[in-house]
Amino acid sequence: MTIDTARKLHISTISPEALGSYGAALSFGTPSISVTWPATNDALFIPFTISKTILVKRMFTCNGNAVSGAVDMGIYTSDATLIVSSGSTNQAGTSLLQPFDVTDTVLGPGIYYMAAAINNTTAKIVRWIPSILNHQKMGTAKMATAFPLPATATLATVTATFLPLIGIDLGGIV
Amino acid sequence: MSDWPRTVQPNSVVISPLSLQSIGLELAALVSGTAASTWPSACLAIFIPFSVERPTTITQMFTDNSASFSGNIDVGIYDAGGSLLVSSGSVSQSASAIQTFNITDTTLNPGLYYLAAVQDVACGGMSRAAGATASGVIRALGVVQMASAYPLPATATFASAGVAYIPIVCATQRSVI
Repeated sequence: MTIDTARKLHISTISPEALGSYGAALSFGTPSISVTWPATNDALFIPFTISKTILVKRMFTCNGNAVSGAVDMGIYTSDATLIVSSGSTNQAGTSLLQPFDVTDTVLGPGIYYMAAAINNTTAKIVRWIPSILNHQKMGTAKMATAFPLPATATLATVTATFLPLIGIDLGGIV
Repeated sequence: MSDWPRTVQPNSVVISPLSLQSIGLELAALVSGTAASTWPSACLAIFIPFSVERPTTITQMFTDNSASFSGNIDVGIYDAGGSLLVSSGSVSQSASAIQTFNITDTTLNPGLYYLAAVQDVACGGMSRAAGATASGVIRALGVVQMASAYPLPATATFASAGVAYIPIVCATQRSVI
């Protein structure tokens, strides 16, 4: 097994592997820092595709200007099976990137989801506001009552125009 | 072995934060554009990640000094571990225009690298990505920084980005800018 070390160290919502091309085509623009999580215990799922093997070391959220409660970050297979998650972790630090340790995990080429769930609607995450229709075109999904992240997710159509800035760290600086 | 040939992304003629092999797509999503702005802090070095998938020889670097110029500048390229591969050394920022730095020709093998730039004053101008307006967002793009880093040190100690400033520092394989 060869780990790809030739790529950048973060895969975020707007990376080429995730929704970057949609962001460019749809002109996401500057994200807002002052919007609360759409619903208590909702999980949001952002698809990403990798063509080489990578080693995931941490995940992150870009927190907004208020923090509250707890966050769970994880990665799912394309058929919504949980691969790894941080477990419930207090949200901490306004207007910065918050890292979440996960077990070092190798992902082979394929399609995955990065997921975030939050247990309240006071917490703020930096986010864009693509329409629900555009959410569907990008392949994002949600699950209600999904805190902490479940072993198997039941993906549903998103109901809020909320696309969070979250990501995966392959060993960089967060 | 795969039944399918593996395609390798060709490198851009000019590698900059606007390139696909750097953070260009992310900046496009942010509807960034560029804007002129003075350097955020004296002696603060800023590092922007990029990758190459085939050997690439960099012959020159350049910056867009935009509307103003002052003090001195140093540009360079670091490997993923923070070791300096090549730099211009201290050069007087010389014009409100493109400024070229004729560095030692340096071949980069496939891997991850950082474009680096630092100015020794906080009043020298430079073109920067305009839409990346929060340091948290910039951190998500993999941009890092180092204080007290003028001139660019042989070994960089990368720290989390604390300024919302992505300079458009460029590296090219060509002799013509």
